Amino acid sequence: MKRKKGAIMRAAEVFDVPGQPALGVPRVTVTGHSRVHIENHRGLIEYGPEIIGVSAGDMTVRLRGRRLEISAMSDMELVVTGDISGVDLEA
Amino acid sequence: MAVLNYLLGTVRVELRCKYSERAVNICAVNHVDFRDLVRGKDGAAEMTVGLSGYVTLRRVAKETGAFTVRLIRRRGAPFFLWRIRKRYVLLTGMAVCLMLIGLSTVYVWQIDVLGNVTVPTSEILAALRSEGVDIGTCVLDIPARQVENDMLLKVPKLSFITLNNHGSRLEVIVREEREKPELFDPDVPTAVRAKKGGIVASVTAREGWTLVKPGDTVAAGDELISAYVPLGTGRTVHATGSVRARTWYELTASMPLQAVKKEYTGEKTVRRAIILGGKRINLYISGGNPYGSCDKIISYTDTVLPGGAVMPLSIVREEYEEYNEYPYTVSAADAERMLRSELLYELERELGDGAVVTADYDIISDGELVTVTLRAECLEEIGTEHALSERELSELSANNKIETE
Repeated sequence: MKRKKGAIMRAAEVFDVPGQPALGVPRVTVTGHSRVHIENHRGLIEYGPEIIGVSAGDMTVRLRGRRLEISAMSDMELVVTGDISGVDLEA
Repeated sequence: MAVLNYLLGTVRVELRCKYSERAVNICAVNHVDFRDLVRGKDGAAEMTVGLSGYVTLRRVAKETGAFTVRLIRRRGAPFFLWRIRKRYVLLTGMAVCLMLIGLSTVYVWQIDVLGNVTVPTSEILAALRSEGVDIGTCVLDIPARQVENDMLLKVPKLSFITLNNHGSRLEVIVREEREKPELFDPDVPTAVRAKKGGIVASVTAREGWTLVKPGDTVAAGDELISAYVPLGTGRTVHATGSVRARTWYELTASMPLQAVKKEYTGEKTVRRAIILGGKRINLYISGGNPYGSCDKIISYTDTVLPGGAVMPLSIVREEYEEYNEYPYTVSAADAERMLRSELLYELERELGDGAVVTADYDIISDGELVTVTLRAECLEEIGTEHALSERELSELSANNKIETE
């Protein structure tokens, strides 16, 4: 599966097209300091008022800040609000 | 969104698990949409879910045994209705109230007229009323397109009208017709004639041939500046100019010296009524005039909400104030003064731009009636343009060999 993904990603790079729609690659959208929208997540790893960790397949998205809250969550999407001070992508 | 959530109902729950992240992920995997997730006491997850989500959550908790669900708070219309399910009077009242609110939105409670400048709003509302559109009319019974067409015929000064219905408020947007300015057409043979008789004081012809000079006496209808200019082979023009003349006026007015004076007795009666959706409801029993002689003062007060929206409820206040009539004698001097000022005002109104040069008054008083006659000499513009008719033009051509183009 991993090899297949890698091949598709390489093909997408060659043809200069985004590979995300086909592969379900996570997309993180940061709006100002107060909102982060994560699509195609794989679930929560940890959560609290100062740190929220979200699994995104090959990597982990870790959000740092104060008064963090998961405003909405479904099996595909997740919205975090609060005073966000950092977004780390850990492979 | 908050209203929708309230209508559908929401539940605040606590998920207790060794690792509450796991419980949250199980929710997401089982399509339980939740919001406002925070870590509660002892690491438990607190979240808000919908009613269907709560049912799913209970089922998943039972099937997996991975976490326990504790209900913290219920909120929304379904729970409220369930709580009052046996209070039949309250439920009936709510149903009637909702029905009335629903019904009220199909009736016109307020009519706003926008865009009119010279046409009074009252005229537009009166025309609408004659079309059957008024406060209290059912919105569904208004044939908007037909009313718009009829309104353009009824109020000719309107060039455009549209009726927009915003719930119980009817918005009437109008555009007025622009009046065509009077154009000066140099090709139309026109003469300047006297609209009044008098002695010419000055003549200034900008176009045309002057037929009078200062000191000439003219009668109403006399030609002052001719359209025919006898220069060269002769031609007709649009004559224009100013002719000022001395004119004389005689105005008479009379006034009896015996009059009737009102004196209020201090007796008052106030009656009230309400107008609800165009229907008047009297809040008194006995109608009719309470006194022999009285003034009746009616005032209407609209009920307005803090936002400015006018409610379909007006309060009517009718005040009757009794008075007695006494004979009153006006002094001859007062009557003369009043008649003088009224006659002068009337003369100045008739003159317009003209001026009063001299004014003499003749007073006749026989003890019962005062008659004042005003004789005044004035200076005013008497020339007025008059387009020549076909017959006048052919006569002019016959009398003078006019060059035709």
